[in-house]
Amino acid sequence: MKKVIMYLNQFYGGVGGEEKADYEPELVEGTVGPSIALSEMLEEGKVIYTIICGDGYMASHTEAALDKIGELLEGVEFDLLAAGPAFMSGRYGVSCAEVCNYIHKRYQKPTVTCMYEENPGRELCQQDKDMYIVKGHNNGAGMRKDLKQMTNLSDKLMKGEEILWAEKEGYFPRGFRWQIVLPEERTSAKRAVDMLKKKIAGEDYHTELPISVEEKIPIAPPRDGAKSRVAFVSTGGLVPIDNPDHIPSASSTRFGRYDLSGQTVLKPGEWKSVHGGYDQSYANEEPMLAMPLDALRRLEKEGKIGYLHPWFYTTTGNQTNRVNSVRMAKEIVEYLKADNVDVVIFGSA
Amino acid sequence: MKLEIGNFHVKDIVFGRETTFKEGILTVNEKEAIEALNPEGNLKEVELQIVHPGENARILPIKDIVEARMRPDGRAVFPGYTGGMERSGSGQIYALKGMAVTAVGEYAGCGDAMLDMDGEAAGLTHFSKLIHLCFTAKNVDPSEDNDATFKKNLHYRLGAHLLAEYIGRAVTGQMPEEWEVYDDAATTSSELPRTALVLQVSAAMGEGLVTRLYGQDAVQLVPPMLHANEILDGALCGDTLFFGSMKLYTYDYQNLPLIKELYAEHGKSLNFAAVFLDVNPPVADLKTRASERIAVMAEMMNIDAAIVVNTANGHSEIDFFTTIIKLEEEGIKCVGHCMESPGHGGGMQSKIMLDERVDAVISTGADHVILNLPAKERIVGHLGTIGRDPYPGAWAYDPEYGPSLHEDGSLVIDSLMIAGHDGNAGWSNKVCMSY
Repeated sequence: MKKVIMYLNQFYGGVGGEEKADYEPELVEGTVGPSIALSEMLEEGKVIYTIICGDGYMASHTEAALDKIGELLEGVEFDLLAAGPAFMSGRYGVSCAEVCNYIHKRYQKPTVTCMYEENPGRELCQQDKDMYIVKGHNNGAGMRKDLKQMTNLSDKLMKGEEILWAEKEGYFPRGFRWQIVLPEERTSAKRAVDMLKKKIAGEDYHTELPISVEEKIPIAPPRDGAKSRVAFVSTGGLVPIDNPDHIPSASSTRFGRYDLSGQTVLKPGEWKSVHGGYDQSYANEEPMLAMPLDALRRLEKEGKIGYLHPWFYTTTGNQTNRVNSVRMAKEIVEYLKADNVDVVIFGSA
Repeated sequence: MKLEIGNFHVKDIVFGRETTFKEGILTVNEKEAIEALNPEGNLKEVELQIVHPGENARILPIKDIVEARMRPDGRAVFPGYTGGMERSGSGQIYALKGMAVTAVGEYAGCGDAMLDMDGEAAGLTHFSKLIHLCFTAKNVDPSEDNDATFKKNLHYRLGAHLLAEYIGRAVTGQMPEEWEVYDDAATTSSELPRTALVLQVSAAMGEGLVTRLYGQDAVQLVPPMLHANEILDGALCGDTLFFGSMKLYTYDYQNLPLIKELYAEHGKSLNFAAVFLDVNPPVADLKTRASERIAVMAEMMNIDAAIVVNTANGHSEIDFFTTIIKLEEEGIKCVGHCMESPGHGGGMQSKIMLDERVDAVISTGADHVILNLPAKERIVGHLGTIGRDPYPGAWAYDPEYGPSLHEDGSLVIDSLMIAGHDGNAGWSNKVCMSY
C-alpha cells in the first residue's frame, strides 16, 4: 500500500475560517475532512498524514511555512502529495502550488493538486513531468467530483501507469507535447479535409496545434559604441575545428564559449561551421564571415567600441527551439553581466 | 484535365530471366535492370535486393523512393527528367502498386534516411508497407564519398527514376486491374467553395539538392500554380536536402494523400481548383515575396479555402505561417498541415513561429522522437554510415545517449532517421497532444 500526504488549508482542515488564516503548519496523523474521502477512494494507497496550514500564513510567511513543513516531514516516508482541491480560492490555490513545488523539488515525489481554471495558483505551479493540476470546480459543491479526479490520477501515478494527455486525464496542460499514434485510417490528409470542411461551413473545429503567443521583448535603444563594452554572440554554428563541445548541426541544446583574448583573426583550418541549415563552405574558407574578429579588433583600436569582451559565444540556431534558446541566452547573459558587457552584437547564420 | 491511373497490384518480386509481370508476380532480369538504371556508368558495384514488409531488415542510406510506372503512349514517366519535356497530368499511365523502387547509397548526408521493415520504427512510416526493389551502388566519382552534409546524389536519384520506368515496362500490353480517374472538369460545380492545396517544396539551397519540377531544380522558384494531376503524374520529383523523415519522396508526390482526399470531396463539398507550390528561400524578402505571390494567385483564382502544407522545420515554418496569414488576410479559410518540434523532452515550443491568426492546424506528430531499435538480421546498404556520416538523426557520440550505433548493431536514434516518419504528404496517423 502506497503512502499519500495530503495538504489542506485551515478551513478544510477543520481548524477554522478566516479568523484562523494565520494558523501555522501542523502535521496530523491520518485523515481530516477531504483527506478522509480521498483516502477511501484511493485504490493504490492511503493518506497517512494530513498537513494543515492557514492560507494567510502560507501567503505572508511562505518560506517559514515551507521550512516548517519540511521539518514536520522529517523521517516520514511517502509516495505522493495531494493538495486541495482549492476551487476558486486564490490564496488556497497559491498555497497548494507552493507546497507542490516545494515537495516535488525536495523529495522528487509526484504531486497532484486541483483547482478551478481561473485560480491564480495555476500559474505558479511548476511545469514538471510528474506534477499535475487536475481541472477542478469553482466551489466546494464540486468537492466529491474533484477528489475523484485527483484519486484517479494519483492511483495511476502510484501504479506507475502511463499518464495520457491532458484532455483525456482531466489535468491542465503543462506545456509538454508528445506524439500519439491514431488508428491507421485517421490520416492527416483526412483530418485536414474534415477540418477544412468544418471551417468552410462555419462549424466548430479544434485545431491540433494550440497556439500560445510569446512575450515580445523590445530591442534596446542605441548606445554610444565608444563607451560600450561589446560582446559577440552567434547562432551561426562557428566552432573550433575539432568541435570540442559537440555543438550539433541542428536542434542545439548547448553553446560553446571560446577565449579570443590576444587574438586578432580567426584562421581557416582552425574554425569550422557545424550549422546544418546553410552552405558552410564559405564560413569554412573564411571563419570571419561568421565571427568578424578582425573588424571588431579594428573598431576597438579605432576607439569606436570601448572594449571587446574576450569570449565568443556560439551555438547552432538551426531548428533550435525557443525554450532552449531562451535558456542558453540566460546562461550567456550571466557571463556577459559578470564582465559588465552592455552591448551584444548578435550574428545569425 | 483528366488523368487515368491504371493499377497493377504487385504481390511479390522475384529475379528471373525476363522482366515480366504475371498474376501479381513481378519478375526482374537483374542485368537488364541494372543497365537501365545506370546508362552512363556513373555508378559501380550496382546490385539489386528485394525487401518485404514484416521482414527483419533495415535499409540505409536511402536516397529516394519511387513508384514504378509506365506510360502507354510513350511519353516519359518523369517528363524533363527521365525523358523529354512534355506536359504530364492527362491521359493514361500505369502504376505498379504495393511496391517501390528504392535507391541506397554508400555515404549519407542530411537528406538520407533509414527504413526498418518490422518492429517499432516500421510502424511509424507508410514506406514499411511496400515491397522494396532496392539497388545498392557506389558513385564512380568519389567527390561525395565524404562527411559533407549536403550531397546531390544525382546518379542515385536519377537511377531510381530510370529503374522505376524500366520496371513499369513489365506491364506493357496488359490491362490494369483497376483505374483511378482524376477528372476535375467532370464534377466541377459553380456553387461550391473553390479550394487550393498549397504544398511546400524544397527550394532553399543549391542546385542539385532540391525538389525537381519537370526535371529542373526548384532553386529560386517563384511559387507556381500546378494542376493536381501533374503532381500525381511525375511533374515533381524528390529532393535530397530536407531531412529524410520529413521530405516528400517522388513516391509521395505520385500518391499524394492530400490531393486524393481533396479530389474525393471535389464536386461534393468543394471544388479542388489548384495547387500552388510554396518555397522556403533563406532571405526574408523572398519569403514574403513567395507568400504574397500565392495570395495574389489565390485571389486571381477566386480561391475560398486552402490546405497549406509545411514539409520542413526551421525557417521553412516562417514560410508556412506567413503564407497562411496572407491567405487569411484575403479572406481565404485555411487549414495548416505540419509536424511539430517539441524536442526530446516534449517541452519545447512546437514551431519557431506562432501566430494566433493560424487557428486551424493538423499536427502530423513530433519530428524528434528517440527510438531504441534492436539490430536487424538483414542490412541492405551500410550500417556503418551511422555515426560516420552526418545524418540528422544519428550521431557518433551524444552526452546523453552515447553513440547511435552499438556494437551489436542495435541503435539509439532520432526519428529524423526514419524515411517518411512525418507523413507530410498526408500519410500521418500521428498527432501531438498536450500533456
